[in-house]
Amino acid sequence: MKNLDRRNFLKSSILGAGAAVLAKPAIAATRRTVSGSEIITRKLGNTGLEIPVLSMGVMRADNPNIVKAAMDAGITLFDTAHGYQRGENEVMLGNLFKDYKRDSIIIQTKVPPGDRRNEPSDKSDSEIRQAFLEKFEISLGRLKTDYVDILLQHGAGNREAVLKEPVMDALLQAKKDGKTRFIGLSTHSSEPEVIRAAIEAGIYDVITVAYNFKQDHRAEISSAMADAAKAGIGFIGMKTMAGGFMDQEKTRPVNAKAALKWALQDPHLTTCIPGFTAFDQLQLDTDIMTDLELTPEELQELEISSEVIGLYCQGCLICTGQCSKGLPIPEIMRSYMYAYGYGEMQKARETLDEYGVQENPCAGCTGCTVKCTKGFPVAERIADISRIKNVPFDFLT
Amino acid sequence: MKTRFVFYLFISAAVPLFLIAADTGETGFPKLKGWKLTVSPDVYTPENLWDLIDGAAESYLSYDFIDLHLADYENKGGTVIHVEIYRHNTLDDAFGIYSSERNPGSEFLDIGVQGYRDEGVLNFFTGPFYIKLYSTGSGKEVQESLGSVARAVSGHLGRGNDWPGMLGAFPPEGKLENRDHFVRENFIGLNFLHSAFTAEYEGNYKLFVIVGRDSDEIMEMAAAYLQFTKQDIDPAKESSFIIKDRYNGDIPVVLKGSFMAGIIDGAGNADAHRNLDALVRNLEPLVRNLVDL
Repeated sequence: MKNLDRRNFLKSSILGAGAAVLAKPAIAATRRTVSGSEIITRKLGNTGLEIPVLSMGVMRADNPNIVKAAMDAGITLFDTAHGYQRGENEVMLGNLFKDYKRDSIIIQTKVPPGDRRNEPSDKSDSEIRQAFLEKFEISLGRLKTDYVDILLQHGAGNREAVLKEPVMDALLQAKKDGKTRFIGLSTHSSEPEVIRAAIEAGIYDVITVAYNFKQDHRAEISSAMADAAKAGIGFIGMKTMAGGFMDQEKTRPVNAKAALKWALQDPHLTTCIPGFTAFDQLQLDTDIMTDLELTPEELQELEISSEVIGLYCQGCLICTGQCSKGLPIPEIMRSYMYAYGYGEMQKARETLDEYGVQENPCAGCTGCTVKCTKGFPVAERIADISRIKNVPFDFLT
Repeated sequence: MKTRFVFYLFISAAVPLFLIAADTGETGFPKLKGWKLTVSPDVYTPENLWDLIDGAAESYLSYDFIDLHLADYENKGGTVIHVEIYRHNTLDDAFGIYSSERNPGSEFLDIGVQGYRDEGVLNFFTGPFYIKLYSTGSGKEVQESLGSVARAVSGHLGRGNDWPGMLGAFPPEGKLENRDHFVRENFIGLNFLHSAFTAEYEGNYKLFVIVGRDSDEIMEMAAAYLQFTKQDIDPAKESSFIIKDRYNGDIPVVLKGSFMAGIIDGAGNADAHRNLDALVRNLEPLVRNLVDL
């Protein structure tokens, strides 16, 4: 038997990807009113924090008035780092935030685990731990606060970095001392490996992850995020603009609003931190705080086919409990997306296995009781994807 | 500073500011007696700068970053000095990124145009280069080593010690040391204002100057700003008025030929207005030079 790749599987499918429906997404979220507008908020993993879907990456903003305007617009989470503008970024935020009620703002900062370059360090574990905590103390001083809400290890690029004991010890120590409420890491390379290592580590509350519509491995990231979400880890998206341009010549700017909306279609992403430096960018981005619906025109601008986007289960969970046989519908729809959207056949099968979905799970049902808010033909998709259970795992690619 | 300002006027007479080409001089690391030099084969460009410095790359990219070269110097005592040479498009860009990271409380040094040293760190700029040195070691010897390697690198690059000439136009009365900046884009968060030089003064106000390609560009900027603030003013090419910006406060501005100058956070400050007048007077020769071209 030949390995069953995406092409062969789709060829033998009754439905195929063409039947995908593009409809209004339903996101698992709540809304709160700011200045008369209903802002969409989401929970950040198990932290208990409920955050608007738009936050601010402050890294390049040297004008505190932009941060003020972002606060007025309802943004509550501000991301900075020990190294941004060599500390001046944290200083600017500290000078501004000292005049605000501390609990009205969520401050996230990032501390590098070692020297800038990815070279082996001759420092002992104790020195690495101490250096990390010293840098963090400097950051607290610049930010003029006794604590931050989220402290991240800056730029973890592989499993080894995530599991580096002296850095984990330092993060835990900072949390124990009440100098940070939550701990985590940021990553913009080997994201799936990093996320899975974070699950393994068992100490991280938050991951700030590069996630955008251009990444070849976005399905893997999405899948890893879904697994980490089960472990209670919350996600914050960065680099959603995918470099800012659609082409290498940099003649066609990315539609920022569309790119943000695209990223936030993933229900496991709580918020994004675009780095706006101008009021008009802020205004444009804040539009998504009340409306995450991707229009066909926006999809076209992102050069994503409507067939593919129509495969996204948003994980709204509204269908939970609707199936008379108790099937895990969102997970089966996710499995369908892996197979038909990304050709990730093994991942599709693993997802079904994980949730105990059997071959022909709808057998015996005379009519489907599930009503998908996105209009997915749920019974047909279950019939299609569950056939993968017939295929020996080793034959899947 | 005066000599450098005159030099700048000379340059300005020959080439408009916005046309000064990228400096394509070779980036290099000098060999130093007593130090083993290891040049990294990795050269970072706008495409992969993120891989090295994470999100901080955004700032560098906004100042027309071209490439980054790395090297290490190690002496027999085991002291290692890491050197990073960031090449930007122009002197203004290098000053822009340098000044955005400069802490006015640092120990300042005459290296390149200007440098400063903190514990284990020495940064300076010269020509279109922003050079950063750091060491994981500490102590007097390391601090001195940072200085000697920095001077050697500066000499090797050979770009002299000229400040961006526009800085010379800011009047010295009440001007705070090491608090001048060059912002490359979205000045005060407004996308229709491109780049600006700023200087901070006693009394917590700032003066700024934006230099356009010509007077038409400045008029377009002023019109866009007034549209943004919904003010019914029809500015003449040489005029002054107050912009009522809901984000940045009241901003007195002067339009004169190809530049716009103004005050931030000091609309009611008499000293600020006196210094704005002086700034405009200092800028006028520049304007004439630019218009004559």
